[in-house]
Amino acid sequence: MKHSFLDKYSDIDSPMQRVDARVKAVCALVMIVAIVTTPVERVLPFAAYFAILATVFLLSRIPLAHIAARLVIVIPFLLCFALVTPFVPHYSGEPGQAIGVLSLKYYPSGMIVLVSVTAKAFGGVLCIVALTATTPFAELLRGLERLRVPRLFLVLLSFAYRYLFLFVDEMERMKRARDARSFGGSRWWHARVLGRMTGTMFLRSFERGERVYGAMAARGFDGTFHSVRPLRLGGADAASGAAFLALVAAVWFVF
Amino acid sequence: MHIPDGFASMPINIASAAASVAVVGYALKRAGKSLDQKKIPLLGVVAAFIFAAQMLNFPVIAGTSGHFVGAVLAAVLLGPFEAVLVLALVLVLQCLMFADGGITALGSNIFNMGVVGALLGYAAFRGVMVILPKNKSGTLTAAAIAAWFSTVAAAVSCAVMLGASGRYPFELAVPAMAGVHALIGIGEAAITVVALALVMAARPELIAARPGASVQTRTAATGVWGVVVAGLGAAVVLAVIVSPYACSDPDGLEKKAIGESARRFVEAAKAEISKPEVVKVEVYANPGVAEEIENTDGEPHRILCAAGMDALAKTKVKEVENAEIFAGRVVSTEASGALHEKKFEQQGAVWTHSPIADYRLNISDKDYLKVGLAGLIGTILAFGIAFAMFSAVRGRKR
Repeated sequence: MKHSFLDKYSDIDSPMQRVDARVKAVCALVMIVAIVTTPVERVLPFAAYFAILATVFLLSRIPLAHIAARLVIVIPFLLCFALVTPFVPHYSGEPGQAIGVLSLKYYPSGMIVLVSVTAKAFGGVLCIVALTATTPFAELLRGLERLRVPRLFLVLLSFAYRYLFLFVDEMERMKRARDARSFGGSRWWHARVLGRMTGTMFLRSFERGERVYGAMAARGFDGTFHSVRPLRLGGADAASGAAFLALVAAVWFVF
Repeated sequence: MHIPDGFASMPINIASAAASVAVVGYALKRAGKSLDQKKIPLLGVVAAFIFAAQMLNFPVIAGTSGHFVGAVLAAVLLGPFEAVLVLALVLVLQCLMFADGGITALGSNIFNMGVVGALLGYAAFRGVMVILPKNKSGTLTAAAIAAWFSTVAAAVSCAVMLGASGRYPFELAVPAMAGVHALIGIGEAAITVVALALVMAARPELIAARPGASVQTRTAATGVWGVVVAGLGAAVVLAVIVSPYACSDPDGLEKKAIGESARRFVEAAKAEISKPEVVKVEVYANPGVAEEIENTDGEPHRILCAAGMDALAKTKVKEVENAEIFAGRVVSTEASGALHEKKFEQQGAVWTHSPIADYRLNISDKDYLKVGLAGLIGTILAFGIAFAMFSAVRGRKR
C-alpha cells in the first residue's frame, strides 16, 4: 500500500527502488551516524557525503521539489539555533568580537558549531528521504523485521500506518467544516473547538480500533501474525550494500 | 520539540535511546503479554489518531504556533505505558514519513515526549489526583495540570539534552524552552480537558478504568484530610531540606569550567579588590567551600562580600588552592558616589559571556536556614492560597 504524501515515489522503477529494504535501511543508518560523528572542521568529508547523496537522488529519480519540501521541516529548529549559537563561545577563553547590539559578542567557534549542526541536520533529513521515498512502507517494515526489530512494534506501526491517512483526511474534513462555519472568536473558544475535535477523533479512533479487532477476530485472529512474501536478499543487493558501506567508511576514515 | 540529527551529541543520543528502548521494550512486553488482544489494533489505530491530532496547530504568541502532543490525553485514556508505546509509534512515523526528528535523535525524542511527556505526565496526573476530589471536575483539573506539566517537562528535558550536548548554554535554552512551552502547555491543557470531558460523557467506562480518576460527580470525602496533611507534609519536607541544595550546585558543564578558570579568576579578583574605588566583590561560590582572597596592598578598604564570602569580609587570609569560584561581579563607586555595577571579566569561563549569565542564586552555609524557612513559608502560603481557591470553587458548585 502507498499513500500520496507518505511513500509517494516508491513505485518509480529505478536502481535505488529495486534494492532490498534491509540493505537500504542499514546503509541509511550507517550514513547518518557517519555524518553526525564527522567533525565539521573537516570540509572534505561533508562535500563527499553530499556528493554521495546527490548521486543516490539522481539514481532514484525522486523529484527535487519533494526533497526540498522535506528539508523545510528542520528550518524552524535551525532558526532558533542560529539566533543564539554564534553569540556563545564554545571553548573556554575565546575572545569575542563586540557587534554593538545589546552587548552581544560574536564568537567564531559558535559559528562553526552552527554550520556543523546545519550540515548534519540536512544530511540526516536527506538520508531519511533517500530511504523512505524509495521504499514502500510495508517493505521497509518487513526489512526491519528481518533486522530483529520487535515484531509487535512493527505490527503496531503497520496498523498506525494503515489508518494514518484515514484520520488525517478526517481531520482535514473537520477542519474544513470548522472553517466553513467562520471559525473565529476568542482563544478559549478555539481551545474548546479544537478540544472537541480531538475528543471526537479519539472516540472515532477508539471505536474503529474495536471494530477492527472484531473483524480480525471474526477472521480467526489469534494474536500471531503471518506474512506471505518473505524477503529475499539477492547477491546484487548484498554487493551494492557492501560497496556503499565501504564508500561511507572510506570517507569517514580517510578524509 | 523534535530534535533533528546532529543537534544532540552522540553520548546524549545513545543514553536517551537506551532509556527509551528499555521503557518501550517494557511497554511492548506488557502489551504482548496482556490477554487482551483487542489492544493490538487499538494501539495502532489510536497512534494514527495522535499523529493526525498533532497536526492541529493553535496560535501561541506573535506568529508562532504550538501543536497538540496528546501525551497526557493518551495516558489518561489508555494507560501510561500504552501511551508511551503510542507516542513512540507516532514519533517513528513522523521521523520516517516527514523526516521530522532525526533517526539518531529518535531515542531522545521518544524519551522527551514519550517517557517524560507521557510517563511523568501520568505520574503528575496521579499525584494531583491524590489531593483532588475523586469526581469529574477533580479528574479534569488533574488532567489539565498534568498536561501543562508534561508539555513543560518535555521541553525542559529537550533543552537539557541540547545544553548537555554543548550546543546551547543551559541558562538560555532551559528558560527559553520552558517559557514558550509554558504558553503552549496552556493550549495543550485546554484541548486535553475539553477532549477528555467529551470522552467522559460518551464513554465513561474508559476513564473509570483508570485508577485514581473518576467520573462520579459526588465527592467521596473520606480520607481527603489525611491525604491533604500528608501531601502538605511532603511538600514542606521538600521545601526545607531540598531547596537549599537545589539552587547553588553547579551542574556538570559549569563544573568543567570551574577548574580551568578558578585560578585566573582569583588573580583577577585580587587585582580588582586592591583598587580604591572597589567597595564590594561579589563572588558566587559553592556553599561549604570557604573562598578567601588576600587584599594585597594592605590598605583597609571597605570590602563587603556577598553571601558565600563572609569569611573574606572578616579576615584577610591566604589564597586557597583550587578555589571553586565560578562567577563574579564587581561593584565599584563611580565619581558621583553612586554604586555602579561592573561585570567582572572572568577569563576562561564558558558561559559567563552570554547575555543572562548572572542569574544564579548565591547561598552560603549560613543561609541554609533562611532558604529552608523561606521554602517552608512559601509552601504553606501557596498551599493555603490554592486550598482557599479550591474550596471557593467547590463551594460555588454545590
